[in-house]
Amino acid sequence: MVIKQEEMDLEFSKKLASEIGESFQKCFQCGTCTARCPAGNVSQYRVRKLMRMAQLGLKDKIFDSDEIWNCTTCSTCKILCPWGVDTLSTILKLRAEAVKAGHPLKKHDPLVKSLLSYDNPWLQPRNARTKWYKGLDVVDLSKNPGEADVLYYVGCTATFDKRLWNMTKAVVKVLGMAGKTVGVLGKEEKCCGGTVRGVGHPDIFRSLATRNVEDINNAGVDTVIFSCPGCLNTIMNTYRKEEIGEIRPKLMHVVEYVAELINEGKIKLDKDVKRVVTYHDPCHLGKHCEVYEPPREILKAVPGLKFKEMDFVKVNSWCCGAGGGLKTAFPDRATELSSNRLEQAEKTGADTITSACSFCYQNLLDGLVVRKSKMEMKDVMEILAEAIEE
Amino acid sequence: MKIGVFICFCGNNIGGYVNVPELTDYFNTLGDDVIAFNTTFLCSEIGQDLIKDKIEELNLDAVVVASCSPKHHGSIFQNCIGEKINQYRWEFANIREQCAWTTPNKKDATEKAKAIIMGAIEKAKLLKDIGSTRVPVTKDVLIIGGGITGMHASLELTDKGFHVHMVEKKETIGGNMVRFDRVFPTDDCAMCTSSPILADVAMNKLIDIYSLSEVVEVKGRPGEYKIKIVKRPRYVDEKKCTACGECTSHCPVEVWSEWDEGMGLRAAIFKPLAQAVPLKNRIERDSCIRCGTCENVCKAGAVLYDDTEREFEITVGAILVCTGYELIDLTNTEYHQEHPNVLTGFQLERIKVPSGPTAGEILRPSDGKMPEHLVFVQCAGSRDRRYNVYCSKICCMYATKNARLIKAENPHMKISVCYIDMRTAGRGYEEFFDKAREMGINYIRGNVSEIVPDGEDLILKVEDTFTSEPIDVRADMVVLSNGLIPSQGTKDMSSVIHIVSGADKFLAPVHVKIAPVDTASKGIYIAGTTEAPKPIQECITDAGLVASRIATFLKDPEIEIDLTTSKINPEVCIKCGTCAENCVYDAIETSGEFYEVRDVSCQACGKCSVTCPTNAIDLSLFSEDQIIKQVDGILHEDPDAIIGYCCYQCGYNAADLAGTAKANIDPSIKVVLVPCSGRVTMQHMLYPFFKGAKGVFLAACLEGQCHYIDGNLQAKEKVALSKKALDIMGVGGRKLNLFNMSSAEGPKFVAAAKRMVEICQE
Repeated sequence: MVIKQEEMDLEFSKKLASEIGESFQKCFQCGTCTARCPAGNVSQYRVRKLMRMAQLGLKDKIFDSDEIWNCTTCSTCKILCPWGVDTLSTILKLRAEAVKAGHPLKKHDPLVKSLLSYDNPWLQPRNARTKWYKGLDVVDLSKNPGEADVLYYVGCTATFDKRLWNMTKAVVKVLGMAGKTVGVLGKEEKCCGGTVRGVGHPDIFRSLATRNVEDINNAGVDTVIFSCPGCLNTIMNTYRKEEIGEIRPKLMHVVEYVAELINEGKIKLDKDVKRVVTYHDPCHLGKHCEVYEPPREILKAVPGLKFKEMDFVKVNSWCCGAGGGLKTAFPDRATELSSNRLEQAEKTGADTITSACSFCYQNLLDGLVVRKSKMEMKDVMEILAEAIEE
Repeated sequence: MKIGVFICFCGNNIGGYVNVPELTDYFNTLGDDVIAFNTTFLCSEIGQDLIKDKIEELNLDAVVVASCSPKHHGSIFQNCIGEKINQYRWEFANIREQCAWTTPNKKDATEKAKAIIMGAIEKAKLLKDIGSTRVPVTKDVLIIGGGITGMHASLELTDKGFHVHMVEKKETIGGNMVRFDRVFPTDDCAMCTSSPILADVAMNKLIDIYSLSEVVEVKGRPGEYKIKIVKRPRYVDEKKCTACGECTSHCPVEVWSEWDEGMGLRAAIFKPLAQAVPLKNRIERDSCIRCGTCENVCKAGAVLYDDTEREFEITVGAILVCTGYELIDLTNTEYHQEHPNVLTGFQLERIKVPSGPTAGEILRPSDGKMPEHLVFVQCAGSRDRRYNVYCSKICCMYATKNARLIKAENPHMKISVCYIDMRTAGRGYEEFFDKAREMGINYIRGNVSEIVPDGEDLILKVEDTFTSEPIDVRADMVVLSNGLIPSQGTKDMSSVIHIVSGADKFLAPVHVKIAPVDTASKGIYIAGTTEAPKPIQECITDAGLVASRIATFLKDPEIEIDLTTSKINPEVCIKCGTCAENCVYDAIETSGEFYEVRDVSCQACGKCSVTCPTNAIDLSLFSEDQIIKQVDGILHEDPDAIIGYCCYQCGYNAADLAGTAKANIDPSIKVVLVPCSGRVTMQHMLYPFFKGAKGVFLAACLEGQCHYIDGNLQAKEKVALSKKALDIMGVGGRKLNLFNMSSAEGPKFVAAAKRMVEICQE
């Protein structure tokens, strides 16, 4: 099949170049990105080829295939690119253009509709946000601003997926031991907008983001902690990049906050945890927010615990496959990726795989089932809770 | 002072855009001391005769040539005028590149030309005779680095009768080439090709070789440099040692050999290769256990345990730096150079050498087995912003060479090469690559994203970009084509001798295209891979060229230097030493009593005059007042002008290029040539504003690429200060700006001019 000159929309290519920056034109097709692309390992998705098609302005060809929807937004390609091409922004831009041109991915429809109706992607009523902390000592800062030490931004996934409640409860328990009162936004908490932006709806993202900035600033706290690195990266980095508005409190992942508390001797770990543990770096916490050491410091501080590193860690870590809307669109591919990652974890001889991300948690759990693995999935905070005397 | 103004039509090149007759008439109305003429082609013989005749006929004191850029025909006019009066009694007015070609409206162009010429006339009024001086020259040459480039250059120079001092850091000369197995594109044995050269250098009575030595200080002037050299102890008496090897065979020490890149072992007393020059053993003291065995077995009594470091001085007329390259270290990166079966290109060369540790057999280090699948990884550390952005030029060929040689001897072995682009330009190179494919070497078009160790084997993550399929390439031995970086010696010399290096840290020539071995300092040259990665044949070409350049420089017993240099007025000088401290050429000497410019070292950049607190030091050409007068002249004709001080090497060239490209530049922009942006004083920056100028800007070299090393950094500092002054004065510091551009960046000059016009209109 011959590509006709008129199929090459150079105006489209120029527009991408002006929005993404000069790196867009620098791609010289070396394939470094594809070779290490987790999604490319389980699908026909080729970052390099997509970059070339975008440079040539072959927009109809791009929109007609489902290639762009395979990216997990892990950022490995961008980090490895010899010329620093902003591949990730290109993909997100292409997704937004596809949606604008009437080519959204159908499988993302329920997610988008849910966000428009309920401010969360899981088709759950707002009231259900308070369920997980029933009976716990947690302050609703939307009603009583300033009445807690920290605002815990739980994130939709951990809020609505019961399998993760043991983790959220562990956060409250651990912080409680350190004498910190935990505040939440209760049913007023909203999706950070990261996923909806990732699947091509920057306008919906903007509306959520604007309201989030207001809610966080009104909570009356100095610090906001996150369990979900996706939310953290979106609110800390993307809001700034998109100039949503200034956020006054300090934003950090719960593992950063807790690692500090442990360092200051504010949390006593006196129970042996007889586990051999490895740690999976969530892409949005590691590659995007550059938080690598705090979770490791926490695990190494747990008495009785044996810590083992996988071959691919930190900036070199492999994505579990949960991000970028891949799990919603192509759940089998996402599970295949998590299964690949678990294979690397099993090699270490660990009996427990830990992480610090709600998305990774879900997807690694699914992967464990598919693999019929004997390992157990635990969040770093759950492990920590095990080391604390009731 | 009588001044003749000669205006050129340049056919239609100027005449088509500028009203030349109107200009001529105008300058003839100024008074008796300015007389104007015009002609079709001033550079022609008729034009030159007109200038010479009028100088004689009218007793002209100085000449203004209004024509093309002085970069174009400047030397023609200088020589022509020099026949009648002092060759520095002329000033140009560039009304072609910087006026006619950038100003489409004829009326505007004519007015602009008027201002440019008036500036030149005013400057010409202050021109004086500039003489020259002669200084003696030492006919000795210092060559730093005894690699293939240094060896070739030394033989060329001694053939021409010069005495060469060769300083080599290692225990033997020969450089990297003598460690290779074979060399492309002929597959010659590297040692067979270079050992006659080594022998020639060793036996040459005009070459003194200082091995285990380093240059630690360079002082003096072109034609007479004083060089301080430190020679590290060999612990073996070079006069007594016969290199019989008795000591080595008895030495109980076995450590990894640096010469073999850790692929083989050596004793503590050894010579690195059989053809070493000087052919002497050495003791490497860190590995020596001082057991005394060598001392006992040496019949010549050459072992010198108490040998010490020695420092000595030599005097030379010229210096050649050819300190070469080394390979980028990729240990603990995604290339996993630390894995035993991941080799550097150098390590492969050492095990391929028949006299090397495996006697030429390709055996993988972890278990000594012959690999089944050997993979070459190209661009390892090259064309990558995380390492080197540049292409290392030789790797495509050196990997292909080794792949071919190994395949020829081991036809059963599977050999692959992972690459981004194969760059095989050169005589016989493409044919060389073609043959490699014919031999069945598997070329995979894709950059290796990561090498994943898998026990003793390795898995390479790579996309075959032709099929768009990611492949996990399994290899049992990997050879990295490590990119080339300047050697430590090269980096050291940059600071010891003040040679500018580029962003890539290789030493930079004064002009990469037309003066590739000259540096900004007279009498100091670079060649070979000190300048950039290049194959051996280009090093040899460099060596021949540089020998010729040095011979030209040193051919006479004396060299003549035009005194366009800085002068110190002893009556005003307060002996603070600021100028001497600030001069990167060490051109200002002091006897303690007074300061004096050493004309032969002075490069006439003018940086000194800017920082002198009492204005005691000034350039003879481009003096403080000459520049002020030129600005006066321009503003007399166009009080709303924007004055652009352009440095000779970059800003001015960029402005000329903008003209050549017929770019549209606002006529208010008026260029004033300066040798270096570092020559522009704060007075130069502020004065035009007092006279009504709308704006002032400087067009300087890119940072790190100043042809006078750091003049543009000084300019940056002065511009920042002057901006503050302008703010305080209420003029507005934003109307003064510094723009950095390379000599090739015409569009940058256009953008700078446009920006200035915008700022001044706000």
